[in-house]
Amino acid sequence: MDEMLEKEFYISTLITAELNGSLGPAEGEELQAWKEDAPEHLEFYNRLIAQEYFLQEFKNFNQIETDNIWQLTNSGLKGSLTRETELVSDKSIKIWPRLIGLAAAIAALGLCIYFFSGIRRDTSSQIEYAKTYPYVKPGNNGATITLGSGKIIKLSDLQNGVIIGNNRLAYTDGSAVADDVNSNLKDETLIATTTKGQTYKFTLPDGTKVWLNADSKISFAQQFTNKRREVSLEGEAYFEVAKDKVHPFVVAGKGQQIEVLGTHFNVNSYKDEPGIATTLLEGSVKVTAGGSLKIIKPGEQAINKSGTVEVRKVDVDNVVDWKNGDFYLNHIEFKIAMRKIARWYDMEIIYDETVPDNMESGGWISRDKPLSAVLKSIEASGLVKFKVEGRKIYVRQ
Amino acid sequence: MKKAKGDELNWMQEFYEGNEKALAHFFKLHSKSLAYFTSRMLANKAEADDIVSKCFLKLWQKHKDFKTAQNIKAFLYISCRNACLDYLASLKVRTAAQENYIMYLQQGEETILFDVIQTEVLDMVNKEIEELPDKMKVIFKMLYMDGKSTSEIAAELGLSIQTVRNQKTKAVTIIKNSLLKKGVSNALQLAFLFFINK
Repeated sequence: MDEMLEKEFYISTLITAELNGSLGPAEGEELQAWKEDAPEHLEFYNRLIAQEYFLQEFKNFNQIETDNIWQLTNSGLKGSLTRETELVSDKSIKIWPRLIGLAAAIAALGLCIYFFSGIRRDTSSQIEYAKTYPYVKPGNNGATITLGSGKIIKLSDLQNGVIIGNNRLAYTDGSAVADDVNSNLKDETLIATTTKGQTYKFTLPDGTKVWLNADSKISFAQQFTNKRREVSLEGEAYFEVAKDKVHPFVVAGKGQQIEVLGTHFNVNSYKDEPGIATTLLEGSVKVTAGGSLKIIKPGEQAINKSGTVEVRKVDVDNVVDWKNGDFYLNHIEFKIAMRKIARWYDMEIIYDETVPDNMESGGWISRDKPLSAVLKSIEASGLVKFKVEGRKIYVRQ
Repeated sequence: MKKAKGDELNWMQEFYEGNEKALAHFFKLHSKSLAYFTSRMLANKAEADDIVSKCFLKLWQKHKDFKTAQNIKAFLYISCRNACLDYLASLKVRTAAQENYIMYLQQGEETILFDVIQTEVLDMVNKEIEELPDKMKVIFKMLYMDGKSTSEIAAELGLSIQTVRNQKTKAVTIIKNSLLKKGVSNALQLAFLFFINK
């Protein structure tokens, strides 16, 4: 093997498989051969898998925080960017060819917030940033399903998905949702609802997967007995539609319809966002609203403002970040970023008048951190300050 | 959410083209392992963090040089190891432990191999834990990672002590069942339960 460390990476997968109970016979022999290859190998192996040692080391491993390293890396990156302008400027022009107006104004003013910007603060400010926020935990898995009969089922927060069959509701691990639910679901209209701070995944009878974001509602009309597979949506969801040329899949809501054959796309129709944004990752969709009809391609987003639909190219990571458990907030308006945060932590954002509308945010952070971690990262850029009281976040410059 | 081969090709392409997102992706993937790997060699966390970040920057400078994700991973481990060696060698006053460690490292390439294997195994197991449903993960971590006492957890989550105790019992059962379903070996299950019951 002429690749550096290739053998070591391979041995580590064998040992892990053994711990999992998933080591096949051939691989088992390979591992045994390696152990017998040299006394050091066997010594190391025995030491590693000894229960108490392994658990202690696992604990050490799991507790490692890498936020500080990211800050250092990012500030090193920004430092070198002044020389290597190709990393930022060319890319932005290529990916965002049609941005005019607001976005250009943002770029021109150069008002940016970069998370983990690593701008080194002097020690006096450090003390300020070290103040503790009240503990606000991040959102988690949760949702309720309302049956046609009006019965409401609260879904387990220890699970993260439900499979909806024609006559059974089950969690993705196979266990039943509730014992007395399994009547003939084919004739029912099911409504799945999430509150702020909740998210859940659903698999529909045709195999279509739907991820529902916080503060959203989706209803599956008539359980696909009709010619079309139709759902209606309020809020935000990401879809991976199972291919079925005979039955187009339609997402309806707020005066627009999206028709697809089989594809991956995100719909954002929150009431507090300026328009309905339909973003396509794969496949093809047709958006119909008012009198307009637009067909969009992967990487494009259709924005519907009161019946007028415009299409533009976007960075899809900004759109489907939530489905992957992250806030990906690069090059988007600061207030849009804050709205995403508000929905996940179930907080209200109150802006002081000193906070301008045209600030841009940058960076990413995982959605499973407590609110204080997220706010501290943003504050480290030095452009805004936060105060948290109860369920309100106050923002000022 | 298993990643397909196609995903790796996409990331390598983005990385080659100098797209910052790709750096963030590999950072997310490897920073914890490297931090663990480096901190085992150095007593000094600040220095270890600094070395890891510098290695990612070095990686980024050479962003056109890598064909596979494994190449990237290997580069990171080797850079960190070399940087640790340089740092230890530069210290004016060294502890006995550090002297031993330098000798160990200087014996050649082979000596980092065991550390790499250990780090990788822990990383893979850790990633599996991270895939558990959120609530279970939180309870799991608070109970045996944070070493929080029942009363601390109760205070932090605004629950009664009895509630936390009930949750703990429930968590043990659920984790036992869930780990069974995920095919985690009995040995590992018992190990985690051992930790929870401490």
